[in-house]
Amino acid sequence: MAVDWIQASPAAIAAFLASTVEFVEALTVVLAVGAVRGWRSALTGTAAALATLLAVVLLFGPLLTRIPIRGVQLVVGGLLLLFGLRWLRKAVLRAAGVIPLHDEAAAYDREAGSLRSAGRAAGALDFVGFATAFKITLLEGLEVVFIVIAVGSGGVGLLVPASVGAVAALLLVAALGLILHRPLSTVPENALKFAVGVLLAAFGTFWVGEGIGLAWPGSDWSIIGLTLGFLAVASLAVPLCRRRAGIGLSLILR
Amino acid sequence: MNAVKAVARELLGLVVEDVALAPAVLGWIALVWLLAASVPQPRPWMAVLLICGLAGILVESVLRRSGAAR
Repeated sequence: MAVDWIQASPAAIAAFLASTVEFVEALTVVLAVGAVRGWRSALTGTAAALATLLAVVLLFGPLLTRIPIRGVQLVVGGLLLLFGLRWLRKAVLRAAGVIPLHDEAAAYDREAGSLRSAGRAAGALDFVGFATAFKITLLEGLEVVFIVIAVGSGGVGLLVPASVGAVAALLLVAALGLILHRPLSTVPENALKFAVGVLLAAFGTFWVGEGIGLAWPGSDWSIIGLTLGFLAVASLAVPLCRRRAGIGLSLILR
Repeated sequence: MNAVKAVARELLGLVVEDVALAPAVLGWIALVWLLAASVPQPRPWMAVLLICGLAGILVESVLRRSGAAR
Protein backbone atom coordinates (compact mmCIF):
# COMPACT_ATOMS: atom_id res chain seq x y z
CA MET A 1 0.00 0.00 0.00
CA ALA A 2 1.56 3.30 -1.11
CA VAL A 3 1.85 5.94 1.57
CA ASP A 4 1.39 9.54 0.47
CA TRP A 5 4.21 11.26 2.38
CA ILE A 6 2.73 14.72 1.84
CA GLN A 7 -0.11 13.56 4.10
CA ALA A 8 1.75 10.91 6.13
CA SER A 9 4.45 13.19 7.56
CA PRO A 10 2.09 15.87 8.94
CA ALA A 11 -0.23 13.06 10.15
CA ALA A 12 2.58 11.47 12.19
CA ILE A 13 3.75 14.86 13.50
CA ALA A 14 0.20 15.96 14.44
CA ALA A 15 -0.46 12.66 16.25
CA PHE A 16 2.91 12.84 18.03
CA LEU A 17 2.50 16.44 19.23
CA ALA A 18 -1.16 16.06 20.23
CA SER A 19 -0.44 12.80 22.06
CA THR A 20 2.52 14.39 23.87
CA VAL A 21 0.23 17.11 25.27
CA GLU A 22 -2.37 14.58 26.40
CA PHE A 23 0.16 12.14 27.92
CA VAL A 24 1.92 14.94 29.80
CA GLU A 25 -1.42 15.88 31.41
CA ALA A 26 -2.12 12.22 32.28
CA LEU A 27 1.42 11.72 33.64
CA THR A 28 0.93 14.60 36.12
CA VAL A 29 -2.05 12.85 37.73
CA VAL A 30 -0.51 9.35 37.59
CA LEU A 31 2.61 10.70 39.33
CA ALA A 32 0.42 12.30 42.02
CA VAL A 33 -1.42 8.98 42.50
CA GLY A 34 1.87 7.07 42.73
CA ALA A 35 3.40 9.47 45.25
CA VAL A 36 0.30 9.75 47.49
CA ARG A 37 -1.60 6.44 47.10
CA GLY A 38 1.20 4.09 46.03
CA TRP A 39 2.69 2.96 42.73
CA ARG A 40 0.82 -0.34 42.59
CA SER A 41 -2.60 1.33 42.22
CA ALA A 42 -1.20 4.04 39.91
CA LEU A 43 0.41 1.58 37.49
CA THR A 44 -2.47 -0.93 37.61
CA GLY A 45 -5.01 1.82 36.86
CA THR A 46 -2.88 3.16 34.01
CA ALA A 47 -2.34 -0.32 32.51
CA ALA A 48 -6.09 -1.12 32.71
CA ALA A 49 -6.95 2.14 30.93
CA LEU A 50 -4.33 1.54 28.21
CA ALA A 51 -5.77 -1.95 27.64
CA THR A 52 -9.28 -0.44 27.31
CA LEU A 53 -7.99 2.14 24.82
CA LEU A 54 -6.25 -0.57 22.79
CA ALA A 55 -9.55 -2.45 22.59
CA VAL A 56 -11.30 0.74 21.36
CA VAL A 57 -8.66 1.20 18.63
CA LEU A 58 -8.87 -2.45 17.53
CA LEU A 59 -12.67 -2.21 17.42
CA PHE A 60 -13.16 1.12 15.63
CA GLY A 61 -10.00 1.30 13.47
CA PRO A 62 -10.90 -1.57 11.10
CA LEU A 63 -14.60 -0.53 11.07
CA LEU A 64 -13.72 2.84 9.55
CA THR A 65 -11.92 1.22 6.63
CA ARG A 66 -15.24 -0.37 5.56
CA ILE A 67 -16.98 2.99 5.09
CA PRO A 68 -16.55 4.76 1.71
CA ILE A 69 -13.57 7.15 1.91
CA ARG A 70 -15.58 10.24 0.88
CA GLY A 71 -18.09 9.73 3.71
CA VAL A 72 -15.29 9.18 6.22
CA GLN A 73 -13.44 12.27 5.01
CA LEU A 74 -16.51 14.47 5.44
CA VAL A 75 -17.53 13.20 8.90
CA VAL A 76 -14.06 12.67 10.34
CA GLY A 77 -12.74 15.82 8.64
CA GLY A 78 -15.60 17.80 10.19
CA LEU A 79 -14.87 16.40 13.66
CA LEU A 80 -11.14 16.96 13.21
CA LEU A 81 -11.78 20.53 12.09
CA LEU A 82 -13.96 21.25 15.15
CA PHE A 83 -11.36 19.61 17.41
CA GLY A 84 -8.46 21.47 15.80
CA LEU A 85 -10.21 24.83 15.91
CA ARG A 86 -11.10 24.26 19.59
CA TRP A 87 -7.41 23.67 20.43
CA LEU A 88 -6.30 26.56 18.26
CA ARG A 89 -8.85 28.90 19.84
CA LYS A 90 -7.67 27.98 23.34
CA ALA A 91 -3.98 28.26 22.36
CA VAL A 92 -4.55 31.73 20.84
CA LEU A 93 -6.40 32.92 23.96
CA ARG A 94 -3.65 31.52 26.22
CA ALA A 95 -0.87 33.03 24.09
CA ALA A 96 -2.66 36.39 24.29
CA GLY A 97 -2.99 36.11 28.08
CA VAL A 98 -6.81 36.16 27.96
CA ILE A 99 -7.01 32.79 29.76
CA PRO A 100 -4.26 31.40 32.04
CA LEU A 101 -1.67 28.89 30.81
CA HIS A 102 -2.00 25.28 31.95
CA ASP A 103 0.34 24.77 34.92
CA GLU A 104 1.39 21.12 35.42
CA ALA A 105 3.08 21.80 38.79
CA ALA A 106 -0.11 23.43 40.14
CA ALA A 107 -2.22 20.59 38.72
CA TYR A 108 0.06 18.08 40.49
CA ASP A 109 -0.26 19.88 43.85
CA ARG A 110 -4.04 20.13 43.45
CA GLU A 111 -4.39 16.42 42.62
CA ALA A 112 -2.01 15.30 45.38
CA GLY A 113 -3.95 17.37 47.95
CA SER A 114 -7.24 15.87 46.81
CA LEU A 115 -5.82 12.31 46.97
CA ARG A 116 -4.43 12.86 50.50
CA SER A 117 -7.84 13.93 51.77
CA ALA A 118 -9.51 10.76 50.41
CA GLY A 119 -8.50 8.57 53.40
CA ARG A 120 -6.36 5.45 53.51
CA ALA A 121 -6.86 2.27 51.50
CA ALA A 122 -8.56 -0.71 53.16
CA GLY A 123 -7.29 -3.57 50.94
CA ALA A 124 -4.12 -4.50 49.11
CA LEU A 125 -5.07 -2.43 46.06
CA ASP A 126 -6.02 1.20 46.74
CA PHE A 127 -9.29 1.73 44.85
CA VAL A 128 -9.10 5.56 44.96
CA GLY A 129 -5.63 5.49 43.43
CA PHE A 130 -6.59 2.85 40.85
CA ALA A 131 -9.77 4.73 39.81
CA THR A 132 -7.99 8.11 39.57
CA ALA A 133 -5.15 6.74 37.42
CA PHE A 134 -7.62 4.74 35.29
CA LYS A 135 -9.94 7.72 34.74
CA ILE A 136 -7.25 10.26 33.76
CA THR A 137 -5.46 7.81 31.44
CA LEU A 138 -8.77 6.81 29.83
CA LEU A 139 -10.01 10.39 29.35
CA GLU A 140 -6.73 11.80 28.01
CA GLY A 141 -6.17 8.60 26.03
CA LEU A 142 -9.60 8.90 24.41
CA GLU A 143 -8.49 12.21 22.92
CA VAL A 144 -5.36 10.48 21.59
CA VAL A 145 -7.44 7.63 20.12
CA PHE A 146 -9.80 10.17 18.53
CA ILE A 147 -6.87 12.04 16.96
CA VAL A 148 -5.14 8.86 15.73
CA ILE A 149 -8.32 7.40 14.24
CA ALA A 150 -9.42 10.74 12.77
CA VAL A 151 -6.00 11.59 11.31
CA GLY A 152 -5.45 7.97 10.24
CA SER A 153 -8.78 7.43 8.49
CA GLY A 154 -8.73 10.52 6.27
CA GLY A 155 -6.41 9.02 3.67
CA VAL A 156 -4.99 5.72 2.45
CA GLY A 157 -2.28 4.27 4.72
CA LEU A 158 -2.36 7.10 7.29
CA LEU A 159 -3.39 5.00 10.30
CA VAL A 160 0.12 3.54 10.67
CA PRO A 161 2.07 6.86 10.68
CA ALA A 162 -0.53 8.40 13.02
CA SER A 163 -0.28 5.39 15.39
CA VAL A 164 3.52 5.48 15.26
CA GLY A 165 3.41 9.18 16.24
CA ALA A 166 1.12 8.46 19.21
CA VAL A 167 3.14 5.45 20.43
CA ALA A 168 6.38 7.48 20.14
CA ALA A 169 4.79 10.19 22.30
CA LEU A 170 3.65 7.61 24.88
CA LEU A 171 7.15 6.09 25.10
CA LEU A 172 8.82 9.51 25.32
CA VAL A 173 6.52 10.83 28.08
CA ALA A 174 6.65 7.52 30.00
CA ALA A 175 10.47 7.50 29.81
CA LEU A 176 10.69 11.12 30.97
CA GLY A 177 8.26 10.35 33.80
CA LEU A 178 10.36 7.36 34.90
CA ILE A 179 13.60 9.34 34.79
CA LEU A 180 12.41 12.62 36.29
CA HIS A 181 9.66 11.42 38.68
CA ARG A 182 7.99 14.83 38.59
CA PRO A 183 5.45 16.65 36.37
CA LEU A 184 6.79 17.81 33.01
CA SER A 185 6.02 21.45 33.73
CA THR A 186 8.77 22.74 31.41
CA VAL A 187 7.13 21.23 28.31
CA PRO A 188 5.92 24.19 26.17
CA GLU A 189 2.36 22.88 26.28
CA ASN A 190 0.67 25.90 24.73
CA ALA A 191 3.14 26.06 21.84
CA LEU A 192 2.44 22.36 21.20
CA LYS A 193 -1.32 22.97 21.36
CA PHE A 194 -0.94 25.89 18.95
CA ALA A 195 0.99 23.71 16.46
CA VAL A 196 -1.41 20.78 16.80
CA GLY A 197 -4.44 23.07 16.43
CA VAL A 198 -2.98 24.47 13.20
CA LEU A 199 -2.20 20.98 11.79
CA LEU A 200 -5.55 19.44 12.73
CA ALA A 201 -7.52 22.44 11.43
CA ALA A 202 -5.57 22.19 8.14
CA PHE A 203 -6.17 18.42 7.85
CA GLY A 204 -9.83 18.79 8.80
CA THR A 205 -10.41 21.56 6.24
CA PHE A 206 -8.68 19.55 3.51
CA TRP A 207 -10.73 16.42 4.14
CA VAL A 208 -14.00 18.30 4.50
CA GLY A 209 -13.22 19.92 1.14
CA GLU A 210 -12.49 16.51 -0.39
CA GLY A 211 -15.64 15.10 1.20
CA ILE A 212 -17.91 17.76 -0.32
CA GLY A 213 -16.22 17.40 -3.70
CA LEU A 214 -14.16 20.62 -3.81
CA ALA A 215 -11.17 20.93 -6.13
CA TRP A 216 -8.13 21.95 -4.05
CA PRO A 217 -5.62 24.10 -5.94
CA GLY A 218 -2.38 22.06 -6.02
CA SER A 219 -4.17 18.89 -4.87
CA ASP A 220 -2.44 17.30 -1.80
CA TRP A 221 0.10 20.14 -1.65
CA SER A 222 -2.68 22.48 -0.56
CA ILE A 223 -2.38 20.88 2.93
CA ILE A 224 0.86 22.85 3.31
CA GLY A 225 -0.89 26.03 2.14
CA LEU A 226 -3.75 25.39 4.59
CA THR A 227 -1.27 24.82 7.43
CA LEU A 228 0.56 28.08 6.67
CA GLY A 229 -2.77 29.90 6.28
CA PHE A 230 -4.12 28.78 9.68
CA LEU A 231 -0.71 29.50 11.27
CA ALA A 232 -0.71 33.05 9.88
CA VAL A 233 -4.31 33.76 10.91
CA ALA A 234 -3.83 32.36 14.44
CA SER A 235 -0.53 34.22 14.91
CA LEU A 236 -2.11 37.49 13.80
CA ALA A 237 -5.09 36.87 16.08
CA VAL A 238 -2.88 36.83 19.22
CA PRO A 239 -2.00 40.57 19.25
CA LEU A 240 -5.56 41.43 18.17
CA CYS A 241 -6.95 39.50 21.17
CA ARG A 242 -4.44 41.19 23.48
CA ARG A 243 -5.54 44.62 22.26
CA ARG A 244 -9.22 43.66 22.48
CA ALA A 245 -8.83 42.44 26.08
CA GLY A 246 -6.77 45.50 27.02
CA ILE A 247 -3.77 43.40 28.03
CA GLY A 248 -0.37 45.12 28.02
CA LEU A 249 2.79 43.40 26.78
CA SER A 250 4.33 43.59 30.28
CA LEU A 251 1.60 41.31 31.64
CA ILE A 252 2.37 38.70 28.99
CA LEU A 253 6.12 38.77 29.66
CA ARG A 254 5.70 38.39 33.42
CA MET B 1 -22.86 6.21 36.09
CA ASN B 2 -20.64 9.16 36.98
CA ALA B 3 -17.80 7.63 34.95
CA VAL B 4 -20.10 7.21 31.92
CA LYS B 5 -21.23 10.85 32.26
CA ALA B 6 -17.60 11.99 32.54
CA VAL B 7 -16.64 10.06 29.40
CA ALA B 8 -19.70 11.41 27.49
CA ARG B 9 -18.89 14.97 28.63
CA GLU B 10 -15.27 14.47 27.59
CA LEU B 11 -16.28 13.17 24.15
CA LEU B 12 -18.62 16.12 23.54
CA GLY B 13 -15.98 18.48 24.90
CA LEU B 14 -13.53 17.17 22.30
CA VAL B 15 -15.29 19.15 19.60
CA VAL B 16 -17.54 21.68 21.36
CA GLU B 17 -16.26 24.37 23.71
CA ASP B 18 -17.53 27.70 22.43
CA VAL B 19 -21.24 27.08 21.76
CA ALA B 20 -21.23 29.50 18.82
CA LEU B 21 -18.06 28.17 17.14
CA ALA B 22 -19.22 24.62 16.28
CA PRO B 23 -22.58 25.62 14.70
CA ALA B 24 -20.89 28.42 12.74
CA VAL B 25 -18.26 26.00 11.36
CA LEU B 26 -20.87 23.38 10.43
CA GLY B 27 -23.12 26.06 8.90
CA TRP B 28 -20.26 27.40 6.77
CA ILE B 29 -19.37 23.88 5.56
CA ALA B 30 -23.03 23.31 4.63
CA LEU B 31 -23.14 26.61 2.73
CA VAL B 32 -20.00 25.84 0.69
CA TRP B 33 -21.31 22.30 0.08
CA LEU B 34 -24.57 23.70 -1.32
CA LEU B 35 -22.60 26.10 -3.50
CA ALA B 36 -20.35 23.28 -4.78
CA ALA B 37 -23.34 21.06 -5.45
CA SER B 38 -25.09 23.78 -7.45
CA VAL B 39 -22.48 23.70 -10.26
CA PRO B 40 -21.46 20.72 -12.43
CA GLN B 41 -17.72 21.16 -11.67
CA PRO B 42 -16.67 22.83 -8.37
CA ARG B 43 -14.22 25.73 -8.87
CA PRO B 44 -10.92 26.17 -6.95
CA TRP B 45 -12.16 29.50 -5.50
CA MET B 46 -14.80 27.54 -3.58
CA ALA B 47 -12.00 25.82 -1.64
CA VAL B 48 -10.50 29.24 -0.93
CA LEU B 49 -13.93 30.42 0.20
CA LEU B 50 -14.11 27.46 2.64
CA ILE B 51 -10.81 28.28 4.36
CA CYS B 52 -11.45 32.06 4.40
CA GLY B 53 -14.79 31.52 6.12
CA LEU B 54 -13.30 29.12 8.67
CA ALA B 55 -10.46 31.51 9.43
CA GLY B 56 -12.97 34.33 9.87
CA ILE B 57 -15.07 32.23 12.26
CA LEU B 58 -11.96 31.44 14.36
CA VAL B 59 -10.92 35.10 14.55
CA GLU B 60 -14.47 36.19 15.47
CA SER B 61 -14.60 33.57 18.24
CA VAL B 62 -11.28 34.55 19.89
CA LEU B 63 -12.02 38.27 19.60
CA ARG B 64 -15.48 37.81 21.14
CA ARG B 65 -13.94 35.87 24.05
CA SER B 66 -11.22 38.50 24.46
CA GLY B 67 -13.83 41.27 24.53
CA ALA B 68 -15.74 39.40 27.25
CA ALA B 69 -12.56 39.18 29.36
CA ARG B 70 -12.11 42.96 29.41
